[in-house]
Amino acid sequence: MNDQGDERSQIARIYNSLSEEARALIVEVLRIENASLHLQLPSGLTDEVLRKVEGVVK
Amino acid sequence: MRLRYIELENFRQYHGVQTVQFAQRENRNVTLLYGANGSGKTTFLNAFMWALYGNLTEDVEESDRLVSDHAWEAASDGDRITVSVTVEFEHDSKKYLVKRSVEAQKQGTEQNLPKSKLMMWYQDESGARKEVDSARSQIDRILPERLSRFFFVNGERIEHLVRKDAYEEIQGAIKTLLGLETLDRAVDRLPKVAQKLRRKLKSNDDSKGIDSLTDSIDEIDQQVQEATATYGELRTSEQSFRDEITLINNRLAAAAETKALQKERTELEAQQEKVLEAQRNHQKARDSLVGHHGYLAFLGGLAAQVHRISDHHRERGDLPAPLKATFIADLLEAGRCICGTELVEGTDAWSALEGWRTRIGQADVDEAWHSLHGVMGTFEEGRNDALERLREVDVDIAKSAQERRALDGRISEISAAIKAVSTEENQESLESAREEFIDRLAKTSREIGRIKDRIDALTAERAKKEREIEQLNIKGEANNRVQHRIAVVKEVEHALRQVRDIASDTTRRRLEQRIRDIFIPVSLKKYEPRLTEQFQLEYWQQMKNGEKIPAPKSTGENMLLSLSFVAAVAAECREGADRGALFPGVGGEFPIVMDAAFGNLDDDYRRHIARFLPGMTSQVVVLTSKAQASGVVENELQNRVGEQYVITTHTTKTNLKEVTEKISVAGRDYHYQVIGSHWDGAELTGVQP
Repeated sequence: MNDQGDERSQIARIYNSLSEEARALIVEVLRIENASLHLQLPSGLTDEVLRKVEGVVK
Repeated sequence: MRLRYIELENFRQYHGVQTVQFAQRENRNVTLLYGANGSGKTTFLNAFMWALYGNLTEDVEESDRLVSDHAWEAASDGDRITVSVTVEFEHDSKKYLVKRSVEAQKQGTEQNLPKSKLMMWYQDESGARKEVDSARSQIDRILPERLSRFFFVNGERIEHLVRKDAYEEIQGAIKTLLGLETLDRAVDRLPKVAQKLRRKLKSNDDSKGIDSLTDSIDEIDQQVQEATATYGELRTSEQSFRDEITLINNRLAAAAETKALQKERTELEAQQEKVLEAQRNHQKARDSLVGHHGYLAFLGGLAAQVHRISDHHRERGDLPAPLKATFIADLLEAGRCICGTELVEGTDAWSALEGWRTRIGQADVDEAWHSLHGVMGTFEEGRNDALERLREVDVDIAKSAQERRALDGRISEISAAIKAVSTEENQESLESAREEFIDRLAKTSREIGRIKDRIDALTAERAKKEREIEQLNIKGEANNRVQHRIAVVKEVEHALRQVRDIASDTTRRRLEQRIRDIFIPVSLKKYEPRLTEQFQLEYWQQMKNGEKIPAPKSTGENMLLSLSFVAAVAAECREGADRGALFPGVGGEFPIVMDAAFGNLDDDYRRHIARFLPGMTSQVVVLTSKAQASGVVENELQNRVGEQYVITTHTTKTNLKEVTEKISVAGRDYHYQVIGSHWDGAELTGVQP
């Protein structure tokens, strides 16, 4: 499972290198996409992400 | 997902209500269904796909005729007929019941059916049955449709996983397994979000172009979307043409009259592929040569001309040199050195410069002349060398073209010979259909290349427009804020792309190891499987000198490798839940339902596959003809079969001769094909233990 350890540390490095606002936004974007993953034709998601961007990035 | 039972009601060949219970015991986990060709084995496989996803696979003919013909014919105009498939299964310690149904009203012979209705229930802890709100979403959470094709498998088509163009399917499966679709969706969505933000930028005197640039990006996005949709459709068509060609090849290889011809053609086509690859490489080499040294071809005689001119100048002593005698003479005449020293005749400074004038002159000119000759000599050698390499590569291209012509010629002869063979199965029409598919495949592949180029060009154009917007002198606090938001959105998009690539590659490597662990012990050859960085499933063999080369294709090994891939995917799902995955992917046990697992294989491979199947996953459903299962397959499976069924074909035809009317299973006779029956269709009968 070394691969998996490497994978996690690489992803952690990417996350840590992000600006604070990008870190906050990435979490929100993944949360929104995850919640809609099993919807066949999710509508309005782009606007939802946009609102989140405007809320998180000042 | 552990299957408990499936119930078919008037579903295609299956008239009335018919049920199959699936084997549940760990050491007897195989459910075996026997059926003659055309009896309804593929329909049975498709019943799962229809119940869960509302689709039938592409190889089902007349897919809009869902209602059993017998039920349809027996009904009067205006009568209502129900067609349904119900599947009960357990997943994640919960019992689910899925039912898809259509209620049709007969009007004539055409079956114009309304949209199907999907219902799903689960059993709660108290045992009460409760309806699931969003049935399709719940099914996709349990087993996404994209992954289902690896568990509900047509053996005749599974082999395509070993083909180079299956990489997208494999990559897709890996992403679904890992839950990387979340990342995919986010990466697709963020540019749209950035574009919406650009719309909020207010133009001013210095940034008038912003609106038109933003409009251009919208137009490009629209065009990319349309081109991507066309690309997807073309790839699907390309895949189906390849599948059809493979099926025809298999049929020609199975027929005694065309077996040898088809075998030779397969070998020639493999050679043709190699020659084509070599030709492409030669052409690339020529392109590179022309790109880097092509100009030399137009400079013939230049060296001789330079030599002639330089010789002339040498004789005159005015060949350009680092320090010229005239320069010294000018200084002496001016009476002042460039360092400021006054130059008076008879002084040391004057004498020193005089000395220099004597030392340079002819020697200096000679040196410059030699240097120029050296450069021109190298130039001439380079030119000759480039022309020689160009001639060599042209010869290689011509040789490849000649080899291709020879192979094409022999392949055409084989095609004509196959058409001339007279058999019960019309080989001429089969061969003509093959030619047509090859022609359509070539056209589609060309179109795919064209669309791909267009998408690449549009993507580059979009990036250019984005840069242009960034470079505009946009002023104002509100605009600055919007631009900052766009920058953060792009930062997130870039990070998610990286994360997706890392996670996808880690799983690819883990899956490759699983495939190796499964395949190597069961392979009859000394082949090693690989899942390449491009997600191509292939196998290699090690030569005596240790060198590894691509192994020759073999139907048996292809089948084993494809099954190993499916088993590896099943294992990945099984362990997915325990792995603590970063993203919510697919987890749990899944059954494998497989049609035509033993077609076109010799006894050794049938034995190996029969031995392999029960261990693939916790529950295996095998659909086979009696002829393909007799002997080695039944011997291997006899201690692993938990449930057995016979699909009896009923036909109203009476003039059929030499057909198998009964088969013996577990010591009893069962109707296999009923000739002169009062109805046409299929009937499922459970085999008595």
